[in-house]
Amino acid sequence: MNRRPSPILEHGIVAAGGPLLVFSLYLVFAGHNQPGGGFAGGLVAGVAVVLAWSAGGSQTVRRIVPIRSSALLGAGLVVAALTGFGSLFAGLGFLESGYLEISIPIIGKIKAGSTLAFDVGVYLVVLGMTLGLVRALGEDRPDEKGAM
Amino acid sequence: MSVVGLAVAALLFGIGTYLILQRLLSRVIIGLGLVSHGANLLIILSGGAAGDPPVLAEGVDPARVADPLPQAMVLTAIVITFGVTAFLLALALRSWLLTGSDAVEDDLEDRRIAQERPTVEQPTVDNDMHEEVTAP
Amino acid sequence: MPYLLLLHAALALGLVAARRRMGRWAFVVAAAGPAAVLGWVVAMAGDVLNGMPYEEIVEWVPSLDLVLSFRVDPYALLFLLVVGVAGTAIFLYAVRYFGSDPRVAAFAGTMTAFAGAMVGLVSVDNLLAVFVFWELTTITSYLLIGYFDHLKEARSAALHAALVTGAGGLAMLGGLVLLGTEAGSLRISEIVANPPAASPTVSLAWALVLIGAATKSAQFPFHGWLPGAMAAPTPASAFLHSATMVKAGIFLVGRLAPAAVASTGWWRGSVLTIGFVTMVVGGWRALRQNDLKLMLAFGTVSQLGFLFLLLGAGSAELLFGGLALLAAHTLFKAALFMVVGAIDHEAGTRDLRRLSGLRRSMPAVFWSAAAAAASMAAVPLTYGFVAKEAAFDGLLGTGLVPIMAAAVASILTVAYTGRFLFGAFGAHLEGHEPAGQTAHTPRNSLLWAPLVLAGTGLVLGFFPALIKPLVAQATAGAYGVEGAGKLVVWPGLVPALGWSLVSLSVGSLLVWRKEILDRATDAVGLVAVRFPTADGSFRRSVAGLLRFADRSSGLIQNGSLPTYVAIITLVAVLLPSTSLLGGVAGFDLPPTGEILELILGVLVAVLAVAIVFTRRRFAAVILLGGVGYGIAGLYALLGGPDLALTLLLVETLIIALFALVLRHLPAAFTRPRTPQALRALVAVLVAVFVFGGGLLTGAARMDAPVSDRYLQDSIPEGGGANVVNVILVDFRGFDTLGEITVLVAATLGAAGLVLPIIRRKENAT
Repeated sequence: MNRRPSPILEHGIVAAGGPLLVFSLYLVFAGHNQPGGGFAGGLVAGVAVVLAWSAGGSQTVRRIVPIRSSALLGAGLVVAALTGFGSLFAGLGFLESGYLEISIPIIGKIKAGSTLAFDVGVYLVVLGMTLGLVRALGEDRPDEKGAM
Repeated sequence: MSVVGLAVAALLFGIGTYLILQRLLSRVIIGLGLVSHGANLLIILSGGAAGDPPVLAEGVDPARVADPLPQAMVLTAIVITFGVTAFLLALALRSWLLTGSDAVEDDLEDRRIAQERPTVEQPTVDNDMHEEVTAP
Repeated sequence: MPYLLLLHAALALGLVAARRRMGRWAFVVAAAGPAAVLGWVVAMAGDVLNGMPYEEIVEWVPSLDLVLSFRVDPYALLFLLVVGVAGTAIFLYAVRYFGSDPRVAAFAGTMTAFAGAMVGLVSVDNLLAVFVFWELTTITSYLLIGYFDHLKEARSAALHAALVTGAGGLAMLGGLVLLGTEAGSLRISEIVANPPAASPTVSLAWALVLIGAATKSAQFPFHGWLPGAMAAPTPASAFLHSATMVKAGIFLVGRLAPAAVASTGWWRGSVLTIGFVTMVVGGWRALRQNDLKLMLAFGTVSQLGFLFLLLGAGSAELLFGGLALLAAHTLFKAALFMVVGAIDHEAGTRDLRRLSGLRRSMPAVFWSAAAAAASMAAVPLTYGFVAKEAAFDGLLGTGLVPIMAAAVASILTVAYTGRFLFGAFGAHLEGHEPAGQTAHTPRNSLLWAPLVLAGTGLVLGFFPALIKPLVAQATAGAYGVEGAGKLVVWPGLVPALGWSLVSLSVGSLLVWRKEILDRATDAVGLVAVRFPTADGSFRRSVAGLLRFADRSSGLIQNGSLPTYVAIITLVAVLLPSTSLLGGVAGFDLPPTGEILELILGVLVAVLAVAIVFTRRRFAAVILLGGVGYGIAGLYALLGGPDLALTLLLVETLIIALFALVLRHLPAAFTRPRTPQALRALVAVLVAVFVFGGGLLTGAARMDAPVSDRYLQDSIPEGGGANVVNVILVDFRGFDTLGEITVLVAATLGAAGLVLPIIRRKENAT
């Protein structure tokens, strides 16, 4: 399985991965009112990571997503937890939702609030998990050489 | 709850259990996946009758939607199963890399203990017999 | 009182910590514990006897109602007095008994801990606290009895005592908890004031408590551990068996008897029977011993039987006599144990057939032994006599059989007392090598500690009024009866005196005409030897238990993971099944569902079955993915688009992760080495259980689903139309936070399992 990342495949993957990422974000933002949400969004983004791996192995994944998975995991947890405490400071119960109405192009008017931030945290954790797992299990075999 | 759904759940449980009882870790993981599917399906089924998606858009009658609570639970369970499966896969891979097999071998320590006969300490002096004896 | 307990704990820990520097003088320090108890008793006596019990509450976990509530009324005060007096004397005695060995100081520490546990046990008012101190005495007594740990007998005796009293303690814990639940309070004072009404549960509770108390107080048939415990050093024997450990059970039955008699019909009869059988068996066995200490041990069993029935029978008259006798027993039994220790120390043996001429060589020891023995045999003008008169007086009210049984036991007591005294201080028997010619009277606490206790017995024999207020107040506190009995030097010509004199003279006759006794004991011994002894039965049951544990764990824990999983699964299936089957109330077959559902169901079933038969790893994974997609389809049908979406994605990712791992593994599964029929059977049972359980529980819904509220509140409260999402991020958001934490942990764990190995291999190449 000692394949060189083919530039064409790599570009193709990036081309496909972009829309997937956009779709995943859409799921997060729309999830409050339609099917979707942080879990589904994070998983879609995870599919994009898997596609990147299939293009060129762990090296390609590293090149395209130059972030450590632990950073994503940590950031996601912090965001989700802070949302809870944020509600607490705002005088609401832990994780009770508060909102603002904002309008975003294409999706339209949504009520963005603590729940959205919480879902973003979930999204980050799920994406970080997929990335971490793909990196751990997809690490090239010793004979393939290549550092993490 | 429908008979078909229930039968599918039961079948998944049975086959999953059979696979979990195997020695190869990769089969065990697949079995665990099947049992999880069965359990999730059972939770959804016991939530009540099927209905419309619990998304309260215009014109949706709240009385006709499916129960959202089991769905939320199962959604959580699906993702957790994902994490557990991934963890077990890492375990199988580690086992393979270290021992060249993903079979779960017998615990040698347990086996040794099971075969060992315990030695019961019997007191030599029986000071409770009617014969006249002197305590130590 | 809390400080008193802290003092004991500090002394115990300090002595164990400083054992290398202390040696046997540690006992002088340790004596501060019982001496402080004694001081406390003297200081508090005025208030407590004037109807103001000492009460204090130390909060521990108030929210769980776990408080240390102390309550010392005259009844508890009597026990504290006993612990304090005997403890101080015995601790000082121990200084001279032991040689210099670093372990001695640790032993002193353990004794102090034991004394502290006993003090706590009698002065707390909460059943659970009683249990904690109860178990503390069990544990420390294990250490004390097993002090000579190079001797097999000591180890096995310690284990015997710990197992019997520990098992009894467990039974008692069950009883105490039941009792607390039924009575609605864990406070002893409240339970005694308002006993629970009679019911089978309450009866069970009392029975369990009775078992616990009987094991602790070495009552028949649990008495076997007490003679074995003679393997302990003599100071420990004296302390455990005269003043403390065995008195714990008696303390508890005496404390709870008023309530137990009020809420059961059988308590009094059982206590009387147990007590009488124990009295007679113990007295009889004492007669047959040649080891002075063992003789005292069986004598203790006998006396304990008497105390058990007197305190436990639940009548004011008997309690009065019992408490008087309890104080007497402590004085003479502690003194006699210490005398035996002194003899052992000086003559090097305790075999009464060999001891010779000690009366001349140790006259002071002889006189203190004689004084204590006279009290034990209830010779007039001793305190033992005064107390026994009170006990007989109480028993006379119970009927003819009890008083006759008590008289028989008293005759035996007189007989073995005589045997003790003449055996120890008379000439040696023919055919036995004499011992003790070199003995001389010790000039230290080996002599005066027993002397003081025995002398106290004589003084109280002339002035019983010294202790009467305590006994009378304790009785009055338990039953609200004043003047339940009297303690007088000479009772006058009353029936109880008659019984006392009859016992005394018949007993003396048996001592005088030894051959009658020998012939009788030989005859009975021929029959009795055919009956199992308590010690033998105990060892047989322990050996049987070990064999059973060995076989069963060899069968269950055979080292094979599939076996473990199968056992767990079977238990998880069979236990609920039995209760489900018991509750079948009939059910309707649910609807079949839509045709599309049927198609998807069949598809999933076919794929799942195929997994079992494929031998290719990757094929199995693809089939698993297929099952997942099928289920996702079912979710979509059943009204869960979120689920369908998520499951589709998860299945895709799982297939991908499998693919990553399977790159390394061989393509095909190895064939199983063992037959699969049993596994298939377990699997079928699980499937049947799920199907049947689903049918039954599906038909058993009673309450409206909670999600009705979620549906109502979703938009106004959660601000979202997708109720599932609102539940996840808002209503049950805290759960989701926990879940993503699990995901983080799983990821880090998986990476940690694999990456180090891969890196190591990389470095190696």
